[in-house]
Amino acid sequence: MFVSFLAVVAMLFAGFTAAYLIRRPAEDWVPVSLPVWGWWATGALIASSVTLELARRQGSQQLLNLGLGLGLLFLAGQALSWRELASEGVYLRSTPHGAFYFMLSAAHGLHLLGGLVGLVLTSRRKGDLKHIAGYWHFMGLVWLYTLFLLTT
Amino acid sequence: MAIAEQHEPKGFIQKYVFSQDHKVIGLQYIFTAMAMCLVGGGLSVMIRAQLTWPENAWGAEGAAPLVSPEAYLSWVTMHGTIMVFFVVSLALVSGFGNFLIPLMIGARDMAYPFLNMLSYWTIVPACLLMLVSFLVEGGAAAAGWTAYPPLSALPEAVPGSGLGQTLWLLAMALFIVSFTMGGLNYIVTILNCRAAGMSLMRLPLTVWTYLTSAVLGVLAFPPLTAAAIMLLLDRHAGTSFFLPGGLVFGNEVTPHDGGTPLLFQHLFWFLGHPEVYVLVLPGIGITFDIIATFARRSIFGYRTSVWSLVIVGFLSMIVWGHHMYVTGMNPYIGEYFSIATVLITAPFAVLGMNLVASLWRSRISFEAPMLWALGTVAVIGAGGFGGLFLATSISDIYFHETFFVVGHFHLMIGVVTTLSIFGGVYHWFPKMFGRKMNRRLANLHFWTTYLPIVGVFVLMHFQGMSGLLRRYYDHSIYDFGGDGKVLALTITYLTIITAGSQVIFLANFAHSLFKGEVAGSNPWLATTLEWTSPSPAPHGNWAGTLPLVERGPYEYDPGREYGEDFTPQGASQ
Repeated sequence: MFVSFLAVVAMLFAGFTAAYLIRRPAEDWVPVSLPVWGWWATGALIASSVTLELARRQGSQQLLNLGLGLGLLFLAGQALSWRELASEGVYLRSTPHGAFYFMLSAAHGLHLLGGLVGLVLTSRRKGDLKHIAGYWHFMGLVWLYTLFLLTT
Repeated sequence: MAIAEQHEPKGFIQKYVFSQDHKVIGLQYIFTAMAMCLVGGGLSVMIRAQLTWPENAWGAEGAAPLVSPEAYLSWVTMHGTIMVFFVVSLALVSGFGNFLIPLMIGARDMAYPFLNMLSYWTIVPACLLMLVSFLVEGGAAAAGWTAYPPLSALPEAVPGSGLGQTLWLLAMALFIVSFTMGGLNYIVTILNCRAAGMSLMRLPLTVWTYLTSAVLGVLAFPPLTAAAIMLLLDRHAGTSFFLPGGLVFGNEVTPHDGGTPLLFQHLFWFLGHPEVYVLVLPGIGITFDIIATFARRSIFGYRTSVWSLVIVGFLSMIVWGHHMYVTGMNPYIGEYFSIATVLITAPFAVLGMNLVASLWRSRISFEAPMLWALGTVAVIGAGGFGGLFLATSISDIYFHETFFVVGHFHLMIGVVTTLSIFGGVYHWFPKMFGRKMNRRLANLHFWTTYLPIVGVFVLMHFQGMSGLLRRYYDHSIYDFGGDGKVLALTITYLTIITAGSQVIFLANFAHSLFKGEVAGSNPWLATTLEWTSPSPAPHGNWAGTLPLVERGPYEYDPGREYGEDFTPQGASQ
């Protein structure tokens, strides 16, 4: 189940990737410089992955809470990066590059939110965090990949 | 697994409405598909009527045309959508898949019964949204079952592009969610919940086809989800993923720029082509199992069939471009897609060969399920030949916009699937309801369905070769001469006969449900595990322990007397 579900998510982002690569050569493509907040958020996401993994291995509730907090921080950072883009006049409809940034970060953010809910629910009923933490790491990698795609 | 300890459901609602039992859910899917088929199939008769008598409805003197051009587009769109996603997918993949997989692999239920219930109850609102969209302002979606932009991306393009298209997208989103949950459930169940001794190479071929089709569905639907999200943004947020600049509607230039509908076509067909195999493969699997049972011999080349299925599945993911030869794609890419598509013929021919070779020196009994299975084999051959002309870009460019394509894809994903669904119903009806269906009515139903339905789509190939264009509301402005008119009229009459013949099926179904001959646990003397469970199969499938599997799925001995010529795969202790 775990691997097949990761495959589903991977194929979703593969679909977006194909769209991005096909859309990019068009004449109206204006590159947008990515928001600074996005980079800070990325740092928080990586830190949350490390913390959650440590929490899982040591069975520490405090570390788990810290990891969840860092995850929320990432989502807040993403929201701020949207505000930052908007303040520079980049909206969903204004440029295709910006549209991809909004769409991909939203799609990723929703998946991460699902992971957050899963983490809370699993730790509430004292379940094994192995798979849900694995999903969290996977979504972290997806975000790094998305950033790579959007910046190169 | 936890399923074994599940308590027997109490009360009507828990037992038949919000049921977590795979057999009930399977039947819920099948009945839902039957209801949707009344709409989807009814539309096909109406479409034929419009094409045959474009000037006045049903050819009556002085009558107004049956339908406006805009509504006709809606009919075609909804016929395709309902038939592909809400009839064939629901009945064959979700319905029979849920019913058969646990019974055939020796499990008490699916791996995730609750998720299974959730899948079904996600489909119900999807069906309702699809049906409601007929009633909203502007009518149902009209961009084709492929939902190509710009018709699907600009709410002002045609009447159906408004609310109808939005509802269509919502319904499809629900469908994708449900189908993905179902596919994940199938994969986990088949890989993790098999009875002791049921190795992968002892799985009935039906289960193998469900595994292949679930993997395909799970991998191919997410890119369509991506496309649907971008389509929604194009429609409602003003982005330009699929919309080029310079489109004019109502003397106003749309604000979009730089997008391309081709992008959507790529994403759509990346799903669309594997989807064909998601539908057809389980049909072939069911046909294999029926043929083994009524030919009373083991399937020829079991292992090669399994590997062919896997190869077909893989190849089906890399040939989507053959739906797009006329989009002006680079000839080298077209060449690649041609070669890859023709390559699929090889494993498919192996499957067809094995089906036919399984009849060699066998003792065929022409019971109702066998008629449908043999019919399926014949249509796989006929449909496959037509496919060759469309796989090759050189001939496809001529045929692409014609009825040749309509005839071809209906033979494969319409007729092959329908025939195998009927074969499956007649075959597993005893397991579902504990009774057999009436044989005489079944035979009558077969001949009055098989001959006309094959006739319809074979004749459409000839219409296509003569140049009759598809997607048109009215062909009467082109002069196809007297023969063309006769051909169109014949096809329409055959369609009406096919539709009418289904009354026989429904009557037989209803009658046999209550008055049919009572069947024992194994009325067809078959070998696979589901026939070791009582008929109808109880909650938990086997009263005692789970069966212990000791041999392959098709152990028949043609050298022995009928009745002693088979050894079941295993039995419950």
